[in-house]
Amino acid sequence: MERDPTSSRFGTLPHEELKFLCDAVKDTPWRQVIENMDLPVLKQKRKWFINPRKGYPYRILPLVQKRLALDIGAGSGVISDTVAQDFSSVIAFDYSPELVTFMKKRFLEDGIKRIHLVRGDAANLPFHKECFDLVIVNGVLEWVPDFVPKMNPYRAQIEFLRNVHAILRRKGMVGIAIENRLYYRHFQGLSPHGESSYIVILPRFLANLMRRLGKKSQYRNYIYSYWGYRHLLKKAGYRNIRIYLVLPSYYDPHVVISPQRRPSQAFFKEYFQERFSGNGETGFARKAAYYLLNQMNLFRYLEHSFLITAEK
Amino acid sequence: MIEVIKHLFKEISLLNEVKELPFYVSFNRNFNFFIFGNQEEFYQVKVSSERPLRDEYEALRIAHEAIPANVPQPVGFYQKGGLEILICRGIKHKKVRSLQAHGYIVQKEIKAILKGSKVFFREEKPSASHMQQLMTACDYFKNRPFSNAMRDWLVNLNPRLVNSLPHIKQHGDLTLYNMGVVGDNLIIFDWEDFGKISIPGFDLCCLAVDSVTRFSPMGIERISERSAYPKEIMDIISCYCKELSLDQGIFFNLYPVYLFYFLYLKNRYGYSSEIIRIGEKLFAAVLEKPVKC
Repeated sequence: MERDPTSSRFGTLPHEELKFLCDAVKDTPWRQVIENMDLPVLKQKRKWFINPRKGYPYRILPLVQKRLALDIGAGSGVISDTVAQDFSSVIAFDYSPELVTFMKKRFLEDGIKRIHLVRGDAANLPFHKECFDLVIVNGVLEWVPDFVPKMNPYRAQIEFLRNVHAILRRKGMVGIAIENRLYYRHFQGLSPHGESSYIVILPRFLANLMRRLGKKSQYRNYIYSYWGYRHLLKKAGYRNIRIYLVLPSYYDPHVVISPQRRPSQAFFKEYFQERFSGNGETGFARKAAYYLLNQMNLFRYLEHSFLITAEK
Repeated sequence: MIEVIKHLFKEISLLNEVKELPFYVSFNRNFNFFIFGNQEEFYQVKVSSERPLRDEYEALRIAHEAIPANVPQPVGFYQKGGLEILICRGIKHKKVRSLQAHGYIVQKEIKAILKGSKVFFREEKPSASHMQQLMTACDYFKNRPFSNAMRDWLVNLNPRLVNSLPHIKQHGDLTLYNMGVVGDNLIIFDWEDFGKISIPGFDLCCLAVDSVTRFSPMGIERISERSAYPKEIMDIISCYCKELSLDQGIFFNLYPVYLFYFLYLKNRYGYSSEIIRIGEKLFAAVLEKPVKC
């Protein structure tokens, strides 16, 4: 099984590493710890803590008001930090006590007072109704079913999105960054969240059957296609759903393309020239396939990740 | 951000007929939007909340006035909703991948631009001499190793020779990456560092180093190999040196100065740490092994 190297449980660090991290930041500046600490997963994910680009897609959104934002699953705090430049206040919300401790140290050291920390789980959002202008769900939606193990994953995600809908102000917006189920590499065996290969693209009942045959727990980290997300959000009561393409992925976004725009061939050529030369994907057939997909405007539906926005 | 741009476009009557602005945005030092109309027309919109863009607009305006065929047309500079916004007209172009691919056009146009720059971009009353400016740049880095190396190297440089050079505003980032070709015309993009350096030859050095090393870690060692320089670039260098009545050997001798300024720009104006690291290595490479003429 080929596993996406950037993914780990909840997309963060293993518990032991988080503990080490928390101990280390007690008496050392957090940036120094992140740069120098030699832990197996952390050293591969240093960017996850410091890359402000992760928050940039949320800064371009067409919001009416920018008073209060909520970052669900804030993790390292880097998105809250970036978004706080535009908002009067930001609430960074995370399940892990270690990450909350880390963020506390981070924001204290950086002198950021606009970010407030709340600990809790995504299935029980402890907020009043209609108080946020923006709710950020960056790489979180797929993990939500793990918090309600008895509920069907699809239903758990709908329920979560409805709860988010309830805490949004009128004309407030939810911003969801997530993987695309139909990402072409999933058909080549890449697994986005550590599942067995191809599980993600199989029909759900087959995926569960395969898991059961392998004596594993039910497959719960549902991700969807372009149309699947649209359907999910509609069902949760949202309107004005926009699905932006994020390239190369929402882990480290370099380009965001609006829903109305098909990548031009010139852009496409330039972007992929870099990409092809970067990872050895140089085959003529693959290049031709990309070119054709773009010509048919299908490219948008087969890339790695989306930024989805929807209004209350 | 996009709603601020949308209101601004309405106010200044750009793309009136487009209901929802289709765009790409790329994230580098600014938010770099490409906003598209119904037809072929599009606009490049730089947005920043931290970095001032007024100077870049002024630079673009001056450059466009001087060489309109080679510089994107600026539409305006605006401050709205706590953001600085610079709009210029988009130009559909082909990227210059290498001098081999577009050698003739680049060669012809660069020669003309460099020749013209002596007139258009000359500073008649510079604020300080070249040597004084160099010392100011050294002071900026305080006691960093490459700054000390630069001071040591400057001891052996004839200050009269450097000070005798005219002051000509340089583009500041003249690399193949910032060039595009439209028909027989060369377009030069990214004028944000224009005028920050005025020692002649700086732009040419950037272009020459780019054509040899592509500013990649793999190419650093090639900087001192004369044979690695494409003949197109050597032709431009010899033509430019003739224009400035400068010996070609002196141009190559001044490489450490040019690369030091390169480092200064990249450090001072917040470029990525990767390019700064490569800049440091290039600087160290030419100090250790000067380019032989």
